Amino acid sequence: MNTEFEIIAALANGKEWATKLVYESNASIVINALKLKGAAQEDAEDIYQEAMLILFNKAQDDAFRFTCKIGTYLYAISNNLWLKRFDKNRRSPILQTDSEQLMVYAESALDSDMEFFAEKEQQFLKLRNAMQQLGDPCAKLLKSFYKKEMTMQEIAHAFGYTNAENAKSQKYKCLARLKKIYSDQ
Amino acid sequence: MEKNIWEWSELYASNELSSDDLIYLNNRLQNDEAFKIAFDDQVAFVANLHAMHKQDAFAAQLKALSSKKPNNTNKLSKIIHLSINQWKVAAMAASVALLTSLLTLFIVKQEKPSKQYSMLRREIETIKKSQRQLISTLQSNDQSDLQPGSYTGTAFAISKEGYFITNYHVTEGADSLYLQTQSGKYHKAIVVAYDKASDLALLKVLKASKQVVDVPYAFAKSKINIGSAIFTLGYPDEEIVYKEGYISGKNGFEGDTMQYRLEMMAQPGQSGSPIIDSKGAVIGIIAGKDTELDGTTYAVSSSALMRLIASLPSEVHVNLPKINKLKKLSREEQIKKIQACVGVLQVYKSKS
Repeated sequence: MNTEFEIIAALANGKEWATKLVYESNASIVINALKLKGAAQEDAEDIYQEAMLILFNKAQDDAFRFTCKIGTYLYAISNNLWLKRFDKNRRSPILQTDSEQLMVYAESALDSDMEFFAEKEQQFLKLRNAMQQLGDPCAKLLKSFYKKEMTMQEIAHAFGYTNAENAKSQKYKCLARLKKIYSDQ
Repeated sequence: MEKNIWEWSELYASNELSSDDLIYLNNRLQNDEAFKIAFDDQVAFVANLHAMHKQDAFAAQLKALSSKKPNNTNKLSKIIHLSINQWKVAAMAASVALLTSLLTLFIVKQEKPSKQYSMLRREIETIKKSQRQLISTLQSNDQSDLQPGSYTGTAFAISKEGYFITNYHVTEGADSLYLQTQSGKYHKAIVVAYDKASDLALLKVLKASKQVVDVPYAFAKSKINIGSAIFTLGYPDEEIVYKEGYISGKNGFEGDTMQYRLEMMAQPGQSGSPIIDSKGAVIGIIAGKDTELDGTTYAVSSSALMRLIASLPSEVHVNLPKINKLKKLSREEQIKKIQACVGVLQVYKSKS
């Protein structure tokens, strides 16, 4: 069996089995809890997905992986997202079980995680925009390297450069252009 | 060769600089303020680019998960203990429960399953049983933690020391496993090893009495060709059932290279059944079927089994049979020999 640490490390490294395991073993608990608080199924699912993204982001930090209780974290962050976003006019008090669960992660810590994530999202949005403005073949070349994780040799072959060295210098030119577009936004 | 600043940033961000390069870089960062500012900026930029693609890939995984229906197959009905004076309420609740169960069944049947892959363990009259159990709990206040075999699969012998193989999904979350062989005897079994990715679980039958299992078949070392005729023996029912078909695809569900695609009808309960070619070599293990294509079944290839065996720690000795004793026999004779090695696996789970 895998320990929580191994699972969260695998999730952070994009291993699909870990994503699936974490997603499926916590989905019903979190979504049902949100529904009990009055969230619609769809909203609850959206929140849960966002909580997974925040967990993924947070898990890039090794120190967090050691201390993370995955289920509790997902529960707490989902709950916090719900309170912040959909339940501003809430009248009923938070249930006892909730405060027990939440105690592990202070609300301020959760808030900062959410802010950190929002900040990252903002940057990624800018990056995506820049990528679009960059246009081909530069965008394609960068995608091949960063997304498909092709080697420079493969890229040289696919894009018709005489050798990997040429492809590499082309890539750096593309990167410089991308960064300029990004910074000028 | 002189590296440009992008190259420095990228190699640094991905931790690929040699120690000599690192020394040179540190030196330059200390002495060249303009270089340092540009360098820091670009390292952050490259790291972000990596992070974005990584997160996109993760988001795609999430999206794939959310469109799938929640997997209800391993959620078992709970047993509720009640005191005598609550029986009226319980009876009402029971009838409501039955209604809900039927309703759920109805809804589930109507919805088109988004996941096309269905595992083939057999759930035994779950609804009926939960009703009966509720009643028996009321009367006897039985504290037993076990539910009767919630579902069954098939398992078959792979070595004479009492090792059997079945699907991981059959054994998942089980508290205890009992293997019933052709003779009708029950043997307690434990999971020795499993591989979730290929969906295999290696079982060991405890106290396999004195008589050793005579395993008549051998195992194919590599994949066999499309079009090859195959057959299987398994337990979709109380009795062993024979089925035949052919290999229709080299790879399994969604191109899974650890699997075969078969053209052969399969039913719940057949998970874990051996797939055998005409010469009597085991080439795979039934794992699931396509819910949209009638008659399309998927089997884990025997090479995945070999890999699992090869990965075992040295304390576990599983000696796969090397001699195929079925080569020259007629199909009827082959079946006769094989069926002694195939059993029903009863899976027990504690209430949760």
